[in-house]
Amino acid sequence: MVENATQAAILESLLRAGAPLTRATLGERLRLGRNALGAELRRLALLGLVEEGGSDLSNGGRPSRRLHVPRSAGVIAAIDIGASSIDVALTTLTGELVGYVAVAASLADGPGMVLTRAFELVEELETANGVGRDELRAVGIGVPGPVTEEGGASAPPIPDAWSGYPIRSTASDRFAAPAFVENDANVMALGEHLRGAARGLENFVLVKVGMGVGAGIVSEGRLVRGAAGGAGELGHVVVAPESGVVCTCGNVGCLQAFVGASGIARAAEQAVAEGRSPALAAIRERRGALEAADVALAAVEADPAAVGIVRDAGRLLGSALADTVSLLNPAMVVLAGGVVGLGDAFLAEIRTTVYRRSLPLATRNLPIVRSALGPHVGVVGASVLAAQGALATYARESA
Amino acid sequence: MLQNELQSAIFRILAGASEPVSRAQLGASLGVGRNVVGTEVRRLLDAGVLEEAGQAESQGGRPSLLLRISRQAGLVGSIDLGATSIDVALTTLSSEIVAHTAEAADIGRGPKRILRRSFELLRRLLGAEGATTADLRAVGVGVPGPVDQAEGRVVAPPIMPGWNKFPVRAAVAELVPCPVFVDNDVNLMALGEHAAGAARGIDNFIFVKVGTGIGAGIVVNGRLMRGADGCAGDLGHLSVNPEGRRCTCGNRGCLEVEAAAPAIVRAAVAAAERGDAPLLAATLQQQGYLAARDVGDAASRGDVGALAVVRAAAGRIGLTLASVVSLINPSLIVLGGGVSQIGDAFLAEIRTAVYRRSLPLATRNLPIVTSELGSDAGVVGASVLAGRGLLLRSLQ
Repeated sequence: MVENATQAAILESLLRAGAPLTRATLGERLRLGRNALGAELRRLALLGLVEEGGSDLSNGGRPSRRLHVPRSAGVIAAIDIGASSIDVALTTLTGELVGYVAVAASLADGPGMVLTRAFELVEELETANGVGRDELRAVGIGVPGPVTEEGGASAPPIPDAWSGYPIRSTASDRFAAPAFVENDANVMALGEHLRGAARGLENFVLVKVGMGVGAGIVSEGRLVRGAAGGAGELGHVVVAPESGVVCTCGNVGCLQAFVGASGIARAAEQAVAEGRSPALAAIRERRGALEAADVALAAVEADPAAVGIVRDAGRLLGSALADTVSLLNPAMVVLAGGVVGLGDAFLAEIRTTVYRRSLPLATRNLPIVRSALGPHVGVVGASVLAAQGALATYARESA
Repeated sequence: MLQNELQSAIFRILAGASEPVSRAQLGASLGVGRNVVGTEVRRLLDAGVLEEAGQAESQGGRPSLLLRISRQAGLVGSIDLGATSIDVALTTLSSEIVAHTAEAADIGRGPKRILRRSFELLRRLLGAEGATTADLRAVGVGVPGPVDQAEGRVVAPPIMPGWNKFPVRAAVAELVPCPVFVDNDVNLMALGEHAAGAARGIDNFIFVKVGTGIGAGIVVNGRLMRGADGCAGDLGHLSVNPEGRRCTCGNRGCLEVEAAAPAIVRAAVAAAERGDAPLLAATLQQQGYLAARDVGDAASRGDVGALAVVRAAAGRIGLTLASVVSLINPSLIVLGGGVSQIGDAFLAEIRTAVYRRSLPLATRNLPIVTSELGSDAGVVGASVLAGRGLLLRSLQ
């Protein structure tokens, strides 16, 4: 792709910026003089990796054209594997979505089936969007568990069938392009860092609340993976050891078992069984089993039991988050994942609990917000993962 | 002082080394031949920047000379302020202690008094080495509270009345002709262990200090985690008991108020008075008071009541650490501070609690050990902070 480390650095700057840059800005950031920069930009233009176009009239002087990475520079396949779904996207090198699809799926089906389906979806998107196989530059994959140095997932907490499966090499063999695998909460943190609410922050935490609960931690500008890729396992902090509630990881009383989607559903079923929630009972009548989304609906209708479930979950998550905030002192907490759809009361309870329990110094200026990227947070992050990884690889190889 | 690139590179390697390095190792690290390295090393030895430190074991052939940075190259001053003590030291540019002194002090006497006294102690140490402040290349200062790095100020420190927003860095910089660096004391202990102690070469670890207070220094990706406001690592104020005692921070049942030295002493006195701890009761009778150390002694001599107190405190700390381990996935936990020295039962109970409660993946290979630097950790860390800060500036 690129010919030398400087070119890789130029692309990396454009990737990081998330928006077109003028030559002046680029030169400043990379500490490159006009001529040196100009020479490399000419090469990159010839390689089809950078385009100059449009104009910036903002400063009243001579309009300066901005540089960006065009669609023709290539495409990234971004795959976000969740506990119960697969999200797949094709993006430009700088993360703009070219195509996107999400389907239901189950981790329990095992890596062979799940990855095959994911790769099929990539091909369907390529066809639907007129993307040739030779345009694919890299593949990024997020998985809902710790990821090892070898690019596979560690079990537990995810199903044993996944343990030791070579996800990275399977993907790179299939697509003949470098592949990168990372824990899904980490991937989302990358996405938020470069494209979302946490842009420009050196220290922040992203908490994903879906079927599982996990944290992606960025400290001093870098992702914290931990010694074995297991950093951020917030979901398996034990909050109720005597509860008898068994988690998917096998332990009793994990946070995830209460605040994750199945925990919310369980609380909803219990409310119906105990006759405490007319609204939920009505929904159950119509649809059969209850889901976290149903609790959100009932809560919006001010069903007291549903509101109680939402607030309890918010308080429990807030307690765990309060500890996280005291320990890591992030500048921001970003919340993502399906359960965040529980609504404003959920968010409010989380905020109240964190602000009350954490060290005042750590919370005096601490926004706790929803992800800015909506349902795309996983694939946007996977795209960033792949783009950064590919550039680092090319920079190393051409050094 | 350094005349060319190679000398700078040699100096940087030695500055960051925790023990003397052989000429052969230098050559290998730099990818440069023996003779070239030998020439520059000779020049640096002649100039007094480096000094010989014995000989490496023979690898066959002539034994290689061991080298370290000499104190002639310059001194670093370390000031480590605790809630109840001042530690001052002089070190070389590679953070080897040259002289060290400590005395009791009350941080509540305020910044001006404490810093003045610290500076007096520093000057005394310099004088005894035949040196003056002019020989100082950098000074590192540790304080028992959060530090705003941008401004060099202490911010909202719960146990430092009178110090809020005090510009420590600027105040010390007025007294010495060299750059000054300031950070939280537990952060510095972590730095010290990282550079020269139990955590050498470890990229992800937690240093936990258990003494009058409880705090942690966290290193991830090879760097200290300070957090957005400089207060990362605040382990002591995690809530472990919603119905617990009020803490200095305003909340109830913080880990610190439930398990640090004062809590251990309180529980020990109660046990002694209840008749559950005969050895403790005897010590209490004799001394009129109990210290955490006494509780550890009694526990190791078989006092069941004392053992229960130690286990309860260590268990609380271990449980909290288990959550931290799940969050950060460190490769190592290092325990420091006075209470970490009270005996095996304390360490054993912490290990049990952490291994039992954390995810298997995280504890598969997680040694939990005590500090190697002991009471030197703070001043060594302050020196490392200052030395690294100096090096960074010289590279810019």
